[in-house]
Amino acid sequence: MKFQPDQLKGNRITAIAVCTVALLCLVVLAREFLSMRKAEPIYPGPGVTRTAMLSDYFEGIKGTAGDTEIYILEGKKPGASILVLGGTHANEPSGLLSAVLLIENAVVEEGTLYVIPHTNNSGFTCTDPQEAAPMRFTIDTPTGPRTFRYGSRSTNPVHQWPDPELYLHVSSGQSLSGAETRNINRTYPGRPNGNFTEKVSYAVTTLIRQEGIDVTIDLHEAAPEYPTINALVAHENAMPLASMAMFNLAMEGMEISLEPSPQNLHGLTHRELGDHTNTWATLMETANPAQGRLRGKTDERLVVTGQDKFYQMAAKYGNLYVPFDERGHPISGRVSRHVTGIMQLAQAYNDLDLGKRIVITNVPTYEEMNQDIGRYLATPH
Amino acid sequence: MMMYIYLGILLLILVFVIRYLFTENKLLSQIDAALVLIPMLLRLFLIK
Repeated sequence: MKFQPDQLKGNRITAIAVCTVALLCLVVLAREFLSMRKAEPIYPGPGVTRTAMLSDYFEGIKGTAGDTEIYILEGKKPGASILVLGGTHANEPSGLLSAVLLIENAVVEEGTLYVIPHTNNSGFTCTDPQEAAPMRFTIDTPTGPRTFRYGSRSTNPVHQWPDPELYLHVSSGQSLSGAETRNINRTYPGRPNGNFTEKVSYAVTTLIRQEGIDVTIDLHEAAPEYPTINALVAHENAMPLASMAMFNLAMEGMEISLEPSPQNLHGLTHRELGDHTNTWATLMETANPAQGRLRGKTDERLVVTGQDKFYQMAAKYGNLYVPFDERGHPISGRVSRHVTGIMQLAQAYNDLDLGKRIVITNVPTYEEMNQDIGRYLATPH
Repeated sequence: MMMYIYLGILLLILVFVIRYLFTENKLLSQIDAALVLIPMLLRLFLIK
């Protein structure tokens, strides 16, 4: 007799049995998903003089998933100030790692460096739907592995839901697709009475205003087929600084293009922070194939090595905006680009001779980081 | 406010799914209903 599963009879006992199995699955899945709400440890290095919370600048995010730590590295002499925003998009891991590397290594002799590793903290608590992205990736250090979360481009929908049909950026009147309402880099300068993500961006804007931040550097990654890549984007006010930094980077052997911040694309750091505060707003992009549409298997290996045979093929057809061979774009190279960019922006600021300086030391060179950033991350403990 | 309306609708559907699970007399349909419960509960508890 042929087995016919659709003829199997159910009753109250089978209902209780399948419910129990479903609840067991629920417990296992819930533990896995909730584990992403636990932040990876960051070990402040000798240069960190104090920490603050983003909610210190805007009470409206206190106690929410949007509140996040600010690491402050103060020099012995007062001077200029730089704010580094890592983790604006939690699926662009070199921003987070660059911030961590600075927190764990940099020493400021003059001026103040503010570093936020998880700018959109909520974005680190989930992954993007339908991307099959890993939840974490691991960097080997000489004393053991360090694991970091690979999050979402946007705020976790658990913290802000539902998305509207269209997202109206209030200060400009610009309309975007509804999902962009959870993209923090479309919500600047933010609103104190806005949605969850707008409140977080408002807190960042308030920090910049209150502390009189001279230069803001927002760290990003993009797909290799995206035109703005291996690029430094600058608000028109920051162009003298950015162009000087670009020449310095080219002298160091790091090719980077300089792009002006589009006047009519609103909500982004390099546009709104430049328009609404006195900071010189810049943004840097590196190439992350784990974000691209042409990628193959999306796993931890792809995030860390940046190697993908489909991108190699796309490069041969001339479809990419960056060179791509079997070496790929490893995360060490991507982080070294960001950190070297930050160092050169600081140097360019000093070269402009504006009456105050920022001197950052104890940061590895481009070549050193390019080989292996694991060597410069603190011992896990 | 919209979030609470959404969660209320979710709770209502969840009650219907559980009721269906206990009144259905086919095992496969019960398993289908139990599978639907998992993502609904994850969302109701604001986990995922």
